[in-house]
Amino acid sequence: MTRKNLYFLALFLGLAGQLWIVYSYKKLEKQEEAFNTCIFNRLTGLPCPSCGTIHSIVSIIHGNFRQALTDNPLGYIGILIVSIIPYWVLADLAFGKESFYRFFLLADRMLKRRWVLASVLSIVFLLWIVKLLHFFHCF
Amino acid sequence: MDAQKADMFIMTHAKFFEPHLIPAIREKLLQTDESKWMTIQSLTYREPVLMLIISILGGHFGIDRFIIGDMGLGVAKLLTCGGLGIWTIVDWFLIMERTREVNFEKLRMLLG
Repeated sequence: MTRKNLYFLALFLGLAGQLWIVYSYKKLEKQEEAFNTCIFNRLTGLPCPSCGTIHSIVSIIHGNFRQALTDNPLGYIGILIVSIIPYWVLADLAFGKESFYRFFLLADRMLKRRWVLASVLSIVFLLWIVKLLHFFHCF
Repeated sequence: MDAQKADMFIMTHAKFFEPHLIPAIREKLLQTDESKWMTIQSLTYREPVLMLIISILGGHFGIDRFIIGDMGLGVAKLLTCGGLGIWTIVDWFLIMERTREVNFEKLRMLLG
């Protein structure tokens, strides 16, 4: 992927994510449910591996860190991605650097190693299993 | 490589590449040694239309990105619920072009 395409995608998705968090935050403040964007959840009724991320992020913003872990531990990664990447990209564009692009290429190379990818996917899969067990009231 | 073989390759494989890259691919093929012909023929390419179908069905989990080899973006898509659903939809429009790009990169690596 070219640097230009990556920066456009990261900036667009990062800012859209931030707007979505603000919208969800306001909805949840009023005790209303935010619009469900999860296609998998809408089709099957089951939570997907990253369902609950927004609830988790809102819990982190409220300082309720234990609740955030219960909602979805991926919320911690989500809030880091959304709060750092758009500004990192903007800083790169402003100063004419490409540190984010180099970081992306490094992460991409790392993830092409089978054991790294398998480890990441296993963690996500395990979290999903726990989420599904919780969903079916197994504990 | 002779022009007949290069044209045959272009005719059978044009759908795997961006249309504006076809003349450059032909030129490169003509400059390539004959001994590479078998390797070029046996190279497998991702089908852009198939990738679009995969993107529609499994794009939410980043499966489309994993298949074309964009591991970083695949993991990011998986962790963010398909970019909160937005990225899933954006990728329906980007994935075919990206697949063709990946196919071209693969061929370029072989041709040198």
